[in-house]
Amino acid sequence: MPNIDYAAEPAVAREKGTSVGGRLGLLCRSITERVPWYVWWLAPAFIILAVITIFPFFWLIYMSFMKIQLAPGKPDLFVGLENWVDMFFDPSIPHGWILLAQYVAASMVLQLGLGIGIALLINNMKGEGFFSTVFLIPMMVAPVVVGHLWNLLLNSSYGIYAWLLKTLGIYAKGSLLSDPQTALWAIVAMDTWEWTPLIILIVLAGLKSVPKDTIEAAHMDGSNRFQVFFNVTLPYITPAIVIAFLLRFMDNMRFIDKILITTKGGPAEATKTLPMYLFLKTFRQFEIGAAAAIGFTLLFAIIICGIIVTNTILKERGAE
Amino acid sequence: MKRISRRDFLKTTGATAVALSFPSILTGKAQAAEYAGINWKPSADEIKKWRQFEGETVYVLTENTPPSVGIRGAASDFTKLTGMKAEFTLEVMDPLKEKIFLDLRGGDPKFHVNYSQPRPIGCVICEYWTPINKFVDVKTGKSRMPDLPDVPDTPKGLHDAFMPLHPEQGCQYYDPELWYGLPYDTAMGMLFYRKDLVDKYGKKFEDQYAKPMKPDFNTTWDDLYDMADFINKNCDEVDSGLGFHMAQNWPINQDYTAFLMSWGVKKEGFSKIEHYEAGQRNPGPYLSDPQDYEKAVEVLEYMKKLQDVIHPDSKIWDWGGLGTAQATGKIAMQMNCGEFCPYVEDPNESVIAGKAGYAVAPKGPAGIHAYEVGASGLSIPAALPLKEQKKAWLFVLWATGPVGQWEAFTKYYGTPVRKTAYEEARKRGWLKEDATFRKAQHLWIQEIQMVDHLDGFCLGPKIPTYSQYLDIAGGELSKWIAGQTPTPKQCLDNMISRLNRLHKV
Amino acid sequence: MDPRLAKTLKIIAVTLFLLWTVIPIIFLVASSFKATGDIFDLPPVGDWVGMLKLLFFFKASFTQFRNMFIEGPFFTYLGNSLLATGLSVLISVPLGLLAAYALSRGRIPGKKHFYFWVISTRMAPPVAVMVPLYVLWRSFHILQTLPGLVLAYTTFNLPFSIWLLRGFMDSIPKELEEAAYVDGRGRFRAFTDIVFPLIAPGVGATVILCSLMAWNDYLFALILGGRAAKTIPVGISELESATSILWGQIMAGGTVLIIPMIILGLVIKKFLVTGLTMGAMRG
Repeated sequence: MPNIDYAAEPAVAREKGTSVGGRLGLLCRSITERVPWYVWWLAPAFIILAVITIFPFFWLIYMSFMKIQLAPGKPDLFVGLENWVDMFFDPSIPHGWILLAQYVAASMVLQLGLGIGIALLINNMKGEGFFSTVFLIPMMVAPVVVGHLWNLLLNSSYGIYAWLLKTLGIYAKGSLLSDPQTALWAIVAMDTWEWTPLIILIVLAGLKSVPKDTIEAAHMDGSNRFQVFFNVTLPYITPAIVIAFLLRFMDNMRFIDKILITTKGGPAEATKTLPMYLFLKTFRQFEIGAAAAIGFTLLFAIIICGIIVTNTILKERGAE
Repeated sequence: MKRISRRDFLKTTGATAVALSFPSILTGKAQAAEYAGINWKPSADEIKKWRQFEGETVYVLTENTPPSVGIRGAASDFTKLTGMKAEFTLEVMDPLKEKIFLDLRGGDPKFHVNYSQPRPIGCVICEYWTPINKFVDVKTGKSRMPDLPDVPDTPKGLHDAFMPLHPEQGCQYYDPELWYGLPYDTAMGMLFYRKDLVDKYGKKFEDQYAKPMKPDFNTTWDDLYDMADFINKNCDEVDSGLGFHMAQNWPINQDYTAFLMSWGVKKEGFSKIEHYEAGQRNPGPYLSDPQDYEKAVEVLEYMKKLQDVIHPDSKIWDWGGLGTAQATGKIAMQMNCGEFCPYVEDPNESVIAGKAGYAVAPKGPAGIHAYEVGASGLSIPAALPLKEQKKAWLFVLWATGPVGQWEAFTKYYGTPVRKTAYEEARKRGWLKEDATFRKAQHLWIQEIQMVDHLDGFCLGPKIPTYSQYLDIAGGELSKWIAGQTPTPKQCLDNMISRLNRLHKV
Repeated sequence: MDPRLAKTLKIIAVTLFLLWTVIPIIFLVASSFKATGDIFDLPPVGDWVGMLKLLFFFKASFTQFRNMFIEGPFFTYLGNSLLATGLSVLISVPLGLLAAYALSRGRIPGKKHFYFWVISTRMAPPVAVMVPLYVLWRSFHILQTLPGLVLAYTTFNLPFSIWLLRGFMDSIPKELEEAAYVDGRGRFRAFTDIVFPLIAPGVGATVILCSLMAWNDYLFALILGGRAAKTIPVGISELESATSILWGQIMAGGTVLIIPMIILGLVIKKFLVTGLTMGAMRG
């Protein structure tokens, strides 16, 4: 591999700059030359990103110390730590964290379990291409549509899934979504429907990296299916599983579209997970300062989780 | 609270009733010229004012309840009168509230007209609406701007054109002098019951309890409990004797508020509320009066006791869920808003059409028949340019006017607040128990409640912190009836400490 | 275990999962082509034949689409959806290309931190992001406008396209550009002539994935779009009302939303998983 410094501006390109005449041109050139080339390439995206992501981030922190009024003629008031202290007196917040943990844990277990299982089943099966094509479909469906669709599927009078549950004698009390005991699990089911296919596809891709002869050799040694899976296959697909886990984990922590469409936090607080409570706090109660404090906590928690998992992956990579 | 006797009420309004006629309704055709028939004769000059924005559009954001469905249905009349189009966005209460808040707080509102339910919307957001005092003299109803028409048909002044307390509740916020809109509709709690079950089991009930089974003006909450208990034990026709809308937050809070009032707690338990009707910016400490506290304990005990006899799903029902349960024959009685009557009486939708009876809310130990009321107005964002506000104002005038109100009522079974609508309905014999106009059966109870039981008109506290109040009180009440709080005192103490913390007292 | 039994069990399991995956979609599409009354014709409990009829054999009708697009306002919403999606992709992908190239080829101090910032936008909960955006957009006076919505979509599409495109660029050997420099072409020409054609499929995939995210968005359009920049997802949700839910139209709206995305998704099938895992599989 030839050792060329690609970061330096190519000579030809620099020559072109001299054709611009005059003092102004010289001034420009000296600036252009002193500033590395990548700054110009990066600048537009960087500036836009700074305005629409960094500035809001610091604004979020700023707002958490303020009472934001958004009313004509009423300035925002500095309230110190009030919004932060109030969080500890609000019983909805621990409740929200617990529900969020239940929701994320249940979704992860179901999706990973089902996803890995189905991927193993259809790997090298006749019609694998067909399955993996069909499994793309739910992922393309807008979360809003998923919410409405499942609302109707589970509707106690018109829904075919409610009908199925009644016919099979599993549940006849009405919609799963209107029962505080089942509402959260119904939403877990929706999410599982939409996203298990992604895990299947990721794991399938991972399975392609397992060398066939290694498996055959293991079978020859007299290992049974489970031993082969745990000793040979699993190490190969672990990175894929970790990535799938990371993705679904972070998305489940942050998205509320389905809850917002179906139960809106009810019935009886059964689906008021922390992000959902944050939504209600912000846009129903308009306590923007308090919401900023909660929002920052959530953001912080997710990013910490993200860093931990990302580092795990990186370490894994380094070890390879 | 002001009270007027039924006779006074009839005297003040009945005189004009004779002069009214409704040709546009009778012929089924409504044209601008025919408005002259409704005791309101716009001159050519006035018509010009109404038509000054011909060809433009008014965007209306409102709740999808019968009155607004009615107004939308009747909107072609508005177009005929003004030449403007009205585009409606109808929403369920919570998203509606969210949309209004977002639209107004964004500073550049895109809707011309907002539905102003005093709680949970108006008391929080009223300062974003323009007081209509700039358009109209709120005493006489005469226009203050030369290019705008007067409020139609207000011979006795603006206040008197509407049913009692509705201007205060739906339009005034914290300052009785300022009106933030005009009264538009009313949803009023009442008792729905199954007449067929009363006929069938009434005798047995009477033998057992030595009192009549049919709910009437003397029925108390304890009587209601007995009836529900009796129906649960004796009637196979229904799953349960009684249903309430005790879902978290607003629904359960409405029940609680009505109970408090009928137990005799004044001003929702807040010590500093002076303008009960117009609301109070700082309500002061909650339940600081020991007597009120004791009454509130009794209320909570009654609510808990009710759980033994009411349908278990009451805990998750709001108004709609409860109404559906009644219409599908699951429950025998319900405390719900009268606006569900058209649905319960619709043979296509309901299995109990024609079998339902309606009664005023039962009375409590204080002798008060307290009933929830959602008295709403239509308001106009203050941040709109004046020209857009004028367009909106024309829509408000029409929708709260005699024609809009009557149309919404007769064609779509809305709940009018214009006195003229009640007068005409009485003239036609619709304001009585066995009226022919079955889908508006609730109207006779509404009138009785507003005329004879105005002291039971109850809305919940009208305070700027209402959203937070709802979250706190509604949450604590839900926990109490679900058995998660051991004693009523603890439930109240939680509410008191959280509310006092909220109001910094 | 008997291998034949194992195979049968395997086929049953896969078939069940397949049914679980496709039945909702069939139900969605079937319901959108029914007349209003037919949607509610659920067979009695236990009538399996009736259920099959409901899903596959029914009288097709375009009532729902007519009600939405000809009598209702959905053409406006469709226009808004298309514009907001298209414009945000038009901003995000070209700027993303430039930034991705710089990140891929340049020796930039603190590059790691920049990456982390970029990927952290993928971790940010939209509700938490929405709180400051609403307040900021309000002071810029771009609430309830299409530009405001486009900018909001750029908050997630731009970082996403930078990340994804950088992944594609890293897979192009640098030696190819070296040849271009020798030919006397500048960096930008080297990029347009050599790098771009090579990653064109990746750019296509990026365009589609960015479109997917903007097209399917609900929350941003709900909060920042308001009445004046209403997109289809928000329009659909408004069809749900207390007294009568317009299920037929909701389902038809869902069909309109998902069909183009499913077609596009199948087109870029190969890149889809890479894209959805945000290039994490690369390498």
